[in-house]
Amino acid sequence: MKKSPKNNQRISDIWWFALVAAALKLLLIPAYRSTDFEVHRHWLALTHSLPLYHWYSDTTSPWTLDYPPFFAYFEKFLSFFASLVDPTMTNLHEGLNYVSPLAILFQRLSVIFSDVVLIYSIRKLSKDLKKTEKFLTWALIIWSPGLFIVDHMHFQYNGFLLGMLLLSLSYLEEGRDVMGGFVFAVLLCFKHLFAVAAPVYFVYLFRHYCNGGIVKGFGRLVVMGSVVLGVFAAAYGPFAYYGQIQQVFHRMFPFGRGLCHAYWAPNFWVFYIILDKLLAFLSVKLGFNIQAPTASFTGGLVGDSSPFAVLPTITPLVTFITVLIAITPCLIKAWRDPQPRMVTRWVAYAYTCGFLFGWHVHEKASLHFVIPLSITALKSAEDAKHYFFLSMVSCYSLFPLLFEAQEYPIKVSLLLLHAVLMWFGFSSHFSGSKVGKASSSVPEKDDKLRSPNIDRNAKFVVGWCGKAYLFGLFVVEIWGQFLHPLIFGNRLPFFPLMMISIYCALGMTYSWIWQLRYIAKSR
Amino acid sequence: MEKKRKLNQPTKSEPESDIWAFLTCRGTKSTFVCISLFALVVRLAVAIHPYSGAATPPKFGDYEAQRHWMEITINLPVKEWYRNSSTNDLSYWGLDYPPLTAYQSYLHGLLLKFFDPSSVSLFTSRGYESYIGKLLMRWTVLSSDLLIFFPAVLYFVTAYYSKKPIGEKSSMAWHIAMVLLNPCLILIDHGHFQYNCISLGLTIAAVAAIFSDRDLVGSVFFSLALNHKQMSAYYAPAFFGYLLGKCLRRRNPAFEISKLGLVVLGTFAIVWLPYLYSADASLEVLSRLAPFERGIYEDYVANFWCTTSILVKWKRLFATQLLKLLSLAATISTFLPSMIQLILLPTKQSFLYGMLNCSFSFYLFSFQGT
Repeated sequence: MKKSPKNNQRISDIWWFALVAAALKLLLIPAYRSTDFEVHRHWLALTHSLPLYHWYSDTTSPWTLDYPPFFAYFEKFLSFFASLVDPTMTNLHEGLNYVSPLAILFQRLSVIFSDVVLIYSIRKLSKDLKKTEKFLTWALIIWSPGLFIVDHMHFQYNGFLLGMLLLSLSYLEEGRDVMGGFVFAVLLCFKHLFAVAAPVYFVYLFRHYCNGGIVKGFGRLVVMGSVVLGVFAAAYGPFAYYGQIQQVFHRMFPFGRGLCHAYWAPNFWVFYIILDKLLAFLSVKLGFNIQAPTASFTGGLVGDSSPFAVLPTITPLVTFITVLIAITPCLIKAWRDPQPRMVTRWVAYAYTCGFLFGWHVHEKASLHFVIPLSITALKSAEDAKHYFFLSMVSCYSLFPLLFEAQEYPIKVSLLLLHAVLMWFGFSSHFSGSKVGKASSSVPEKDDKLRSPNIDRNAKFVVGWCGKAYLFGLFVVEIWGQFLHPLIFGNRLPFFPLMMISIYCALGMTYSWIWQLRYIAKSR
Repeated sequence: MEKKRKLNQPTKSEPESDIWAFLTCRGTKSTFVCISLFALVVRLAVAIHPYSGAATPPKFGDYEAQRHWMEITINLPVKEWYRNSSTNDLSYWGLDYPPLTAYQSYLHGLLLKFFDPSSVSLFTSRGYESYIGKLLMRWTVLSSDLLIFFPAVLYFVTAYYSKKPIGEKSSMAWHIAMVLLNPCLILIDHGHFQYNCISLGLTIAAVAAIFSDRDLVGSVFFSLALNHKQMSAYYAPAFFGYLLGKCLRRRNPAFEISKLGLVVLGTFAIVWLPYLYSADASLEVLSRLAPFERGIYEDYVANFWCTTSILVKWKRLFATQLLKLLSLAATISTFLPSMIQLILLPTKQSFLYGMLNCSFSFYLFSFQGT
């Protein structure tokens, strides 16, 4: 007879997952750090040493503050402790490119501890799932190889930001719209990149929360609006007071960057660029006079020069419009029938569109939709199959972030472990048989929430096409790591990376189309 | 109350209560692959940390010792490996493990020579430390682990659980995890830098063979383990007692014992082949294996002599020779009961306990030279 209430058991179980992950994260402390480490250290120093009105105008370091104010406040909060641990770290001038064991330890631990937000929100979001589903979901998110690679090796703070996103989604799924909107607004003031899903939130909250007649609806609109505006005021208020808003936005949206960054994120523009190069090559062969492009894709927009030889130039405005067009089917669905159970999928879809069609997208942005989709991965065999591919493609596309030999076996093993866990978990959960499955003996709590046109007894099966694609990933890796250096030596160094981008872009496009079809077909 | 309820439940694992059922229901191999992958990740993560003696000249640490052995074995002929000479200065990390370690160093040395020749060049590579050198060395430990230790564990788990009832299969997964994720082994092998995985792996394989009633195979494996690291002798009384006990219960004890003896001697002969051309050569190797001049490292050991030296100053009261005899007597007297019990009643479970007992008695009472 279990004496402890059900809730306590759930708490203790998730902490087992979290602690196992934390143990591994602690072991990875001395792993490779990217320049993002120095970026965040500088922000600690910046917020610690300078008053508020200098945060967004300081030029001591090239790593200027390009996140919204709440993140700056977060860094300031951390810097109190950082200055106690190692004062040089928070020194604006002497701390430049400062690396000491204590500084590394402090920064790494700050990421590990901030992940507690992710743990909390996952626990909340998976509260109503059945035991096996819940544990598998936890394994998928808490042990996500992408988060290990980006947060705990490359160095970033995605864990707690994604935790806030999941928290907001959990509130929306529960029907607590004001809280959901509030948390999302807070998230936007931490990292403005999450604003890609703002249209979905706006439409959903407008239709779901602000309904029930003109007066009540309008009243609710005022409530929601004031909550959001209140959050923004808390964030940007002090800067508006100092007359710095323009400077803040100038820093937050640096348009000096190009369509792609040094390593092309696997999105749609990769195909566009390849097409452009191909057409240029063909045109030259056919005798046309094509001027070689004067700009590069990774540089910024400089005057009238364009990096494209044949096809029309892509500007930030074009990408913005493309993203909006791509999100539109989702917005229409949300407008027509704002159901709480579809919110996670819509938001994930919005981030997918933002990833595929956005301006200067980083491959790390794939985490923004892979993590929310983990929540829905166990809802059906189709979902599981889609997630199986997506998470592997997304994790593989993150490989170029860790380019040193020491981390190579680690990232490969993390991906393999994740793949094995997914394979075993999904195939045993969706075994296609009614007998012996836990779900059949317990009355279905979310029966009415399941889409009736999904076969609950479908098996998790990966067809030959999927297997071929995954095998192709393996081939691309073998080529990039071993065959290319062997055959080409040091020539064409961009080629392996290009292959990874293109191949993963295929997978990402598949995911986008799959999600679009699912959303379009859902009732 | 909890226990009673457990017994009344059906023996097949219920999906509701066992969240790891998705893994264990697929059989031993799948469970093993999954846990091995995690164990591999942990080992790789530990390997990025510094090794023993990193950046501490002039002697450095175990890492430098292993690298030096690779240098010696690939640059000098076999006969010279254990001999003090102008090219082989035994006072600088001379080989003090049996020949199998030397052969293993030779193989790994070949690997290092292929990718980074300056790491194993004679004389000039002393104190050699580099990023790629560290990576290569770490990968030699990792490959030994994967090729020897992991399969041995799989063999053991399969043999151990083959005769157990179905209900205990879920504990097999935890058992695999406990062995593969043993923090001591991971930290010493992949952090500090040693090759315990080879000798321990061979020992586990020997135990597994014994559990599958393949005593001869088990003897071969254990002899190989002994030839890799003389510390495997910690388990020797248990193996000896169990095997002797089993032989005495057979129809023709003398024949069985001689079979075992031949197999063991044969294994030793094959390993020691290059040194069997003269008694001097063999004695040279033997003297390196049992260095009684050692002293300083043992101060940190949590064994009987060190701990009680707070109360009884052994070094002051007795001469070294007497201390040697004292420790020998203490060790033998503490493992003798379980060895005799094994000879009289050799069962597999008591064999495992016997191994535990013997290793403890050796650890606590053997001569450390304090």
